Amino acid sequence: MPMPMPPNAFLFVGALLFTLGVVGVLTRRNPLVVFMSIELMLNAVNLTFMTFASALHSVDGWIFVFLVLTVAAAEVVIGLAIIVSIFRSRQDIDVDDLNTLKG
Amino acid sequence: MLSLTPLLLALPLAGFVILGIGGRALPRLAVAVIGCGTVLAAFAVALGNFFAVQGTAAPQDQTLWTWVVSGGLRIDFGLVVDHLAAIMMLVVTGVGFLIHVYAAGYMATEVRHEGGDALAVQNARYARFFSFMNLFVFAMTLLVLADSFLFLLVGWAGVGLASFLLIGFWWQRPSAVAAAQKAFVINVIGDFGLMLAIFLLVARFNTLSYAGLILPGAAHHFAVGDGLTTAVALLLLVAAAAKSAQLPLYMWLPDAMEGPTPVSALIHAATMVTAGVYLVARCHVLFAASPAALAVVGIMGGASALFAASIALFQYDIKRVLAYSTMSQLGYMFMGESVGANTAAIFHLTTHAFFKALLFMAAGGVIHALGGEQDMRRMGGLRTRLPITYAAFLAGGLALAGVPPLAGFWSKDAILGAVLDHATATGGVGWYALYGVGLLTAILTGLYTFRLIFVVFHGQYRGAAQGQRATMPHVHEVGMAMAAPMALLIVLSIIGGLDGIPGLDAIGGFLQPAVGTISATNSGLTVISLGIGTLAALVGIALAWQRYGARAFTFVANRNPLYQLLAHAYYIDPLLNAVIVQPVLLLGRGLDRGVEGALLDGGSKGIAWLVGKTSEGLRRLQSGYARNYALAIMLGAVAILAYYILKP
Repeated sequence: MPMPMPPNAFLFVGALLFTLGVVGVLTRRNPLVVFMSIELMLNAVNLTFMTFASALHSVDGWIFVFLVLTVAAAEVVIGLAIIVSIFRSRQDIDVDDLNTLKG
Repeated sequence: MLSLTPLLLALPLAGFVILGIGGRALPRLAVAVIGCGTVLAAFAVALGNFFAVQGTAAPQDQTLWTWVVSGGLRIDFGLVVDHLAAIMMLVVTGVGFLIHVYAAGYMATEVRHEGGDALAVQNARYARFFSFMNLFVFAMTLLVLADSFLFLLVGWAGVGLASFLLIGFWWQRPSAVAAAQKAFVINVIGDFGLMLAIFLLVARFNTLSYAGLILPGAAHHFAVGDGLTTAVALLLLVAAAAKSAQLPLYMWLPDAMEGPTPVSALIHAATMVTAGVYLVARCHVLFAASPAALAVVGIMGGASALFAASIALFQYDIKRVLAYSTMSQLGYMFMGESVGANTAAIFHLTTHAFFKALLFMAAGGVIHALGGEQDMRRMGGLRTRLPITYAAFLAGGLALAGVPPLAGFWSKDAILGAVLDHATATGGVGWYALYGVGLLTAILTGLYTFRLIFVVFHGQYRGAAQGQRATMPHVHEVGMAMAAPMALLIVLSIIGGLDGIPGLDAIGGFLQPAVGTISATNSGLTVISLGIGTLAALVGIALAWQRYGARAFTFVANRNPLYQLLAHAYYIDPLLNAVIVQPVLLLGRGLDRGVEGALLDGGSKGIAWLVGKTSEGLRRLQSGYARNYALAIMLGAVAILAYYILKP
């Protein structure tokens, strides 16, 4: 029976993925990529949840993961719909050009 | 008996509401019938009360409901019926009814002159007038029947409101509006005095009911020499002076003649101005405990009587002469009350209501006959054209001047006799002086009354323009609705004083349980005083005859400074305007610019400016770049995490 990998390794990967996601959200100008970065952050959190769930022998973490997956799916549907409609009206989806909320 | 008393309040109130809401839709006859009918029905109730209280000693106090219970203070709404209230109610509803009937005729012409062309508008004005008149009667009945100082105040202010509405009835005339405002402001000064008195009474005795304070058998006593007694009495006197047009709060009364003539008759002669006399008589226990306050009552009454009579000598406006004479006669009543002769004062109040209402009605007849003319300089020789009005004026004038055996003679000389009696009993020089003032006023009364009669009804008509032959316009005698009440009042002015003949003194005996009595220490003196009083009246009339009646009289400009002083009413109005009105207006304008403009407006504008500038700065944070917001969220999350991680 192989040795179970230590939880720290999983947590490290989760933190790395989360940071990658944050940097992606903050730096990329294409909303599709921003979306993918957000997915990355969500899944980094999912990974962390699962790590702690197996380490603590609790199902709470698993349940949270299901919830997060559901919400993420819904969010993608709505977000993509918004992006498509923006693209239709402006022929351009650079997030830095979408600054009509400027005060 | 008592179960019907609330009707005295309910009937005029119902008339006010019905006519006020639905009057404009009713035909004029219905309006007049409702307006007069409610007062007549109230008079019937008052008559019932009058006979019911005869022979009773204790006042009948009927509590209707409890108004306020707060801590130890309990205020009931109730009605008190005693001899004083019974007499007052007879005067208010009885003379009030006659004036309502007179008004039914008078206002029919008046709305045609003043009410605009449209018949519907004229009808609406007609109904409005009667609804206000009923409101007035309601307020006056509340004032008289209230059994506590609190509801006295309600009636007191209600009378002020009704007079404001009626003086300013022709609101399209700026002078009428100004007069109404003047009356209201001065009346409110009086209300304020009454209010302060009420505060003092609550603070000291914790009750406001007459039964607990001033009626026979009251739980509390006003101690002689107690500062509070004098303070309350003087504050009540402020209220009485404002309502009864005594110095120094009389200024509203002459101007109040801006109202239609029935208003002058009802409010400013027969009933409203008597409220102050009623108040002092009602609180006679309180005043009797304060010699200082009684002295002030005497000074006020005497000064007002002489002051007003002297002004009345040279007025041109027929109604102003009568207005000043009202003030002068009220001065007599206060003189009587100052020596404790409350019965004589109420007696004079009653007879005065008869002949002064009559005089105002007759004046209204003259004014209508001449198409709205009120200036005596454009009258004259009306005796043959207006026989009924002339008879009314003559009867009222003789009664006012105090010629025996008319009503005013018995009542006025009852007061003068009481003053003389008091003077000899106490030996006070001041009381003798008061008697002298009363006599002088009696001479002046005869003079100005008969100046009015001679100038208006005798001699030649003066209405024509310069250079034209003096021909009278077509004048018409008063109609039936106006003549009938005048005829009744002529009778009352002649015989109305007979119940007060010394020795018989039916009215004094009737009132005695309610207002107390003073027995004359020297009855011979009373008879002598009657003779002197008659002489004074005849001297005044003789002077008037010599100056205005014996030969043709024409008005010429008179430069005599004393004449000018009197004709301009001692220049009180300009003085008041300069000393009080203008400074107040100036202060108001200053506050408008300084406080309202600079401070309040400036302050609120400053706050708005600050908020605007702040948000303009904060606005820059809203860059519109989604990444900036995301960064802010991330930094926020990091900061929160850092807080929990680094927290010890």
